[in-house]
Amino acid sequence: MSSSTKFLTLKTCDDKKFVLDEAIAVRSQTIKNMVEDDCVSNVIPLPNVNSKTMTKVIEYWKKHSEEGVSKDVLMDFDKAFVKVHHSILHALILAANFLNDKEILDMMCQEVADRIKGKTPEEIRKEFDIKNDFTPEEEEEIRKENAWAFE
Amino acid sequence: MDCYCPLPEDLVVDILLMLPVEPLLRFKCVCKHWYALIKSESFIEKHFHHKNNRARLLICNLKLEKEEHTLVKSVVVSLLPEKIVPGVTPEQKILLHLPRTDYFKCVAGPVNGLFLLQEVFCEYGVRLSLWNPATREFWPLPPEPFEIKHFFCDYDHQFGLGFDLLTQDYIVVWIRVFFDNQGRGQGQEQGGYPHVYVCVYSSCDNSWKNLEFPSSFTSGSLYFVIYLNGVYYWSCRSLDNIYKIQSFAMGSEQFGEMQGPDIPGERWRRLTLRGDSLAMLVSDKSMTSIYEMKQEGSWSKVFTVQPRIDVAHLPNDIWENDKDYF
Repeated sequence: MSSSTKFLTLKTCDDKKFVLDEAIAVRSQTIKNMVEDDCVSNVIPLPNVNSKTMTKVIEYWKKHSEEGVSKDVLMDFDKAFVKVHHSILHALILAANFLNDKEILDMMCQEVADRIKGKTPEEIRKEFDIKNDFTPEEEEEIRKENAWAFE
Repeated sequence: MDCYCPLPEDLVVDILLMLPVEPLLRFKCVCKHWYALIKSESFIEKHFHHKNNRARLLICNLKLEKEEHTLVKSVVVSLLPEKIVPGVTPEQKILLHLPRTDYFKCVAGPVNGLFLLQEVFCEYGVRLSLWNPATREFWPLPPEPFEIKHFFCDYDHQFGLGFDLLTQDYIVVWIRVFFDNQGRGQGQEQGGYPHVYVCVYSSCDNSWKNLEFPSSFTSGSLYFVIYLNGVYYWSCRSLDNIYKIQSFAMGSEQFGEMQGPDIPGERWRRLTLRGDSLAMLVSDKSMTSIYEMKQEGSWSKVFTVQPRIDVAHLPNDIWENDKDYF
């Protein structure tokens, strides 16, 4: 690292500060745009991200910025990274969306997809807090459209 | 501690796009909004082109089934699992079961994941259907309205399946060539001459119509059918050995006829695609060459392979970035 390494300070919604190498922080397209537009003062506020989630995101960024790290190691890291509680998964998706980090966002959305693909419609409604607005007759009709998918 | 924060709509859509077809069909009954979303054209199109859905390997197997007293032929199409472990017999998912079909053939497709199937029943004749293996939907088409005179005999035919981007309709074209035995002795030395009849089916009104095949065009045997950008191309050999490339544009319903490469037609081996262009494989005794059509009817040689590639080993119709698959 040369002496020109710049550091950015990120402040999460719960007032925790994270000091980070700019080269790593710009994995976030949102932060990158701010840096490029030169509208970065001392501290970048991240009003939509809490410190717990930011710690996870930075853990990911650092691992994926390490030099000479093998593909297999990264794959194992990613596998372990997505194994989190449902609420953290949601928070990470929202954070990745806000920070505009497509890599983390895609990985987390895929994890949700993998978790829900075996579920019943009832379980999905619970998971996404959705109210069933079909009458029992209507629901039965739709089930008949593709009965094989319910076997 | 963790408050529940619902995901914004666009992220929910992103997640749903990553799901396989089976759970999506099940999740149609989650709520009215999801039902409309999953059934929408734009969602289906995005899902079809999603990176998760690129590998689409379908394995068909056809079997004879014994019912109680009689042997009933039926067709079973199955899908092998994604991962095949050595030494383990893979459990196959049955996608389609066609009872009492005597003969079954996939005659065109896939176009947007759809296949055109032809079933032959000894008792009832032929039935065409559109089939989507992913959703397991199967739509028999209405009977086609060919007006066939009793003195015609079947000579040749070809099917094409296409998608009209403008109207979002699936189009089936069926070209049939008949011999007119009554034409015998009326100036045709060969005895009889071929008539070309064309029927076109459109999914928007679920019906067929007859189209007039231009009488000035060459008629004869049809072969090497290939689909490119909404247009079907095939080559045609007349009785007096004139070779032409003919085309049918799905959207405008226009027929076209053009020259093939400037090589005797007997040496044409296969009409194929090279990137986004039409191409023809041509062989002689010592080598196989590829001609590409740069503009309509204008062909130029791209490269030559020596020694000649056997007919049995000619590349398949898939060409991508100059790679060919044998």
